[in-house]
Amino acid sequence: MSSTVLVCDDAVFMRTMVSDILSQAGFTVVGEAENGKQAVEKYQQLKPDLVTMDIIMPEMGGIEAVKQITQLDPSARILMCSAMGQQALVQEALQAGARDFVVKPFQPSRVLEAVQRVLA
Amino acid sequence: MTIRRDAQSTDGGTTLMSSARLDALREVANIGAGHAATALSTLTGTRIMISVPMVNVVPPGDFVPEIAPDVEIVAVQMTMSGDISGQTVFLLATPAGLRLAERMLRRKRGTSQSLGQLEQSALKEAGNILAGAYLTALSEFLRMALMLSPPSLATGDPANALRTLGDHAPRADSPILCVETEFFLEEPVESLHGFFLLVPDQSAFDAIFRAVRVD
Repeated sequence: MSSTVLVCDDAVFMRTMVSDILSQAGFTVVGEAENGKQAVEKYQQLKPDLVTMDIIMPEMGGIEAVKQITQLDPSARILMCSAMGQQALVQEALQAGARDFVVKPFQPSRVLEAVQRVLA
Repeated sequence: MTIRRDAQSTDGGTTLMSSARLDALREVANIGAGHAATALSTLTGTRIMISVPMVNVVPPGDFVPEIAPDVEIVAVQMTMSGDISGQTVFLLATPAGLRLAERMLRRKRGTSQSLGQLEQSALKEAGNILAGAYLTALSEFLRMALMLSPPSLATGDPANALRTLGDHAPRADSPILCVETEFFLEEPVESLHGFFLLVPDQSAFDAIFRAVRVD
């Protein structure tokens, strides 16, 4: 059975792009969330194997969502996908519980490598 | 179509600042825009060129009409916070915005007639990625922590577009400094021009100059 993924990004464009990349590689995108709050709710409902998480989002940002999800499930596997590649922010996300970080824009191969690493 | 600029507002920066400060700001903009251009190139699969950054003094009030008079625009605004505060604005004439959205959505040129939800989302993401790359480069160069708000998008004639942005609309009570870079997306049949504006708050300039050790 293929691994399941929840894609969280406030931009429908980016959710579509990430979902397409993952679906074409054989992953099952079980849900999409457009802010951190939705991601936390959908994580509890869907229990995906992996979450891809943007950082800058309205209502609740990605780093706060990572903290809440890992509090609910310390084994959660979350891959940050953000246009903000500042070292301090990357470290903050990893400290919050994210497993890896890719900076947008990305080539499909870069996302898939990171996904494989996080799921390994 | 390209966005016309008000020639009167383009060179006033030199009268307010020492050449060392202007040099510093241009270098800051160059580093930011260089990274942003690389990001935009990856996003669109197109070669991107950038202009030499311009440091402009913009009159009080809504400044976008000064930069883009008489054309319909798409503006993607983000608020910058952290060690320095201000705004970033990615500005395109609407037809250029449509062409950019088509590129991002991997559609054929001319197949998108209007800026629907998906096209607007693509342009917001372009603004987000440009600003993210720009500020990531700046944060490393200036050794500062910088954050961005989610993007707000507005369309229409410049005055109308700004009204749509509401509280997010870039405006100032006194003349403000604006660091501007022009992007050119090279396509087989046309060049698309877009502007990226870094609009630091007044206090942010002092922080920038301290960071680059320019008096």
